[in-house]
Parts: sequence; structure tokens; C-alpha cells
Amino acid sequence: MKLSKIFASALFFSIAAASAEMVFESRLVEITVKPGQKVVTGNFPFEIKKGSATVVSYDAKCTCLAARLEPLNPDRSVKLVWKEGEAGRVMTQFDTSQFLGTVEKAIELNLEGQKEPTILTVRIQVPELIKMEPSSLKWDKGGEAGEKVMKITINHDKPIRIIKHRGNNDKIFPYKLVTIRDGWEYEIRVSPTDLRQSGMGMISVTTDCEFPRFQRAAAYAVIRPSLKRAPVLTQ
Amino acid sequence: MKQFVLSLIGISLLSAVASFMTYKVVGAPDRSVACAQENLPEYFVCLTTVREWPEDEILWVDARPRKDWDKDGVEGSVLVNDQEDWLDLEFGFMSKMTDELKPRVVVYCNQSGCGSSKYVAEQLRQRHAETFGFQVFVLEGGIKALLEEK
Repeated sequence: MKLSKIFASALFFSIAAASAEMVFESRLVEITVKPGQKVVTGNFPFEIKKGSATVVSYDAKCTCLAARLEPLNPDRSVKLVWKEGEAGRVMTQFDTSQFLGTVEKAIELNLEGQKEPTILTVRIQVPELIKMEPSSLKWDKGGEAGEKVMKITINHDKPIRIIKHRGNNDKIFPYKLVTIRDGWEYEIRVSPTDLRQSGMGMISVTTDCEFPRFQRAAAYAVIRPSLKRAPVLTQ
Repeated sequence: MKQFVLSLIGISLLSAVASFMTYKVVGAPDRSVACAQENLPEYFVCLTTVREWPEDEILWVDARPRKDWDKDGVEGSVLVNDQEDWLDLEFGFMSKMTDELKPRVVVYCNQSGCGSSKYVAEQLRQRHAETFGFQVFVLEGGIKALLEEK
């Protein structure tokens, strides 16, 4: 009789754990990063609607994203057991220093008794203060030589000046940096000297931008062999 | 209590025998990464689809941390991740692509849903795909799909 009570209790608690509901207001947080901002914070508020929930693990799978459950227990330890009616949040901190454009990173939250993890996604948008268009200039091997131009545009509320520039293959890809509007618009004009061989040159620029992320930029000049285009995937 | 323990041992033994017999009849479990190409988002690709392409038309890009690439990166792959200086890694990619031009670039990281491979693929697509004329894909299942295949 005693044993059957133990089994019944174990069954009851496992069912209770399996039916726990940690309900998030949203599983996606979108953040636009300010130019000088290195770390951004995203919050995922939640409420325990049913039963009690025990957090087994939460993992960002990226060294750029850290997560924390809040609030903490009174003794400052991480609160892993949440009762029905309690509310909290998963607080994330995203180190954006290596990124440009749109980036998504996810946190996997595992609850006791749940088969699939809960995925919380942080999507950031990092504006590109220095835009190089196109980012690569191309010529075909054996094709016609001729000058091609890359435009550098500054998308910021104050000027960013190019203070240094260097090409690593000046023999094949000599270039000129032309100032159109100092601090706002430049052009890199490249005229390859020899198209008989495929090859590549990188032109790097250094700026006086106060934000480290935008102090260096690079563009490419490429002589490529002709390429038969790969068939388009049909999905 | 003694009877309970004996019953438990008996049930465990019976289960073990049944499992062994099932294994012998059915074989090992299929641990390959499940993948249906038609259900994948744009630019994602199953390993089975990649295997239909000529091997010499593919440049593999490893978007994982350098230590993982050093350990078991695909042979001939180039490292381009979102943890190291992009300009340095991009130069390596461009050099490789200029030396041996490939029409297909397949980016992988540790697993499905890995943000690194999506980010790297998007950057390569935006910045260089048109210049070189290649297509960029993300491998569904990541390195796990490749390791399971082995």
C-alpha cells in the first residue's frame, strides 16, 4: 500500500512538471543598435500560468550572448523553480561588436518534463555607418580592362574621414582614392593593368570614426575566370 | 520489499532482452539529421541535396569557433565566423575563391538554428556573391549532419 502511494505521488509530480506552463509575452526581441553601442540588452518577460516550472538549463550557444533569469532568489542564487502565478524575465546581453547588418541569436531554455526547448530569439540591426558599393569590383579574365568605381558613403550624423588607405596588390590593381565630399563621400577608382590571370587585390581604409567597429573597412578588386552559373534551387 | 526488488529486476531483465532482440532484428537507430528540402527556408539546404552536387563545385565555409574548425572542419573548408575580425577572415575567403572559383558556397556551424552560419552566409551573399557569381547556402543540421553521415 505504501509503495503504491509512492508510485502515485511520483506519477502525479511528473505529470505536474510536464504540464507546467511558462508563458512568454514574446519569444522574439528586436533591437536597433546605436552606432557606439557595444552591448545591448533584451528582456523576455514570462509568467507561470499552470503548475510549477523547473528550469533545467538555458544556453545561448554563442559567446556573444549571455542570459540570466530574474529576479534572483532572496539569497541571490539563480531562481530555477517557479510556482504558478509567479512572473519573471530572461534577461539577455548581446555583445554586438563583431557584427554588421541584421543578426539573430537564440537562447534555448529547457524545462523539466518538456521534450522540446523553448527558443527565445534576439534580432539586432547594426547600422552600417560606412557603406561601400559595390563591396567588390570585378573584371573577367581575358576580358576588357577599364576603370571601375566603388562609392564610399557615410551614413552618420557627423562626418567620418578616411585618414589612411592601402592596396595590397598595387601592381595589378593600381587605384586612386578621390574625395567627393570630405567626411561624407569618396570614390575608389581601380584600373587593372593585366587581365590575363585571375587575381585579387584588397584595398583597406582607416577612418577617424570614434567607434572602433567603423575604423577599418575593406573593398576588393577581383579578376575572375568566367563562371557557369549554378542552377537555381527549386524549393 | 524483497518481492518488489525481485519483480523490478525481473522486469529490467525482460526489457533488456526485448531491446537486444529488437536491435538485432531492426538494426541500430537512425541518428541522421532529419531533413526535407521542400520544408526548409530559402537558402537552407539538406546534406542529401549537397551530395547531389559535384564535389569540386562546392566551397565549404566553417562558421564555428576556430578551435572547432581546427579539430574537425571539413577538408578544404575556409574559416569565416562571427567571433574573429571579419576583415581578416573575409580576406582568407576571397583568396580561396580567387584561387579556385566555386559556384556554390555551403556554410555550416554546430547545429540547426545556429545564428552564426546564417549571419556569415548573409554577409557573403550580400558582399561577394554577385561579384563572383556564386550561390550561398546554409547546411541544415550543421556539422552534426556531416558527422552523422560518417
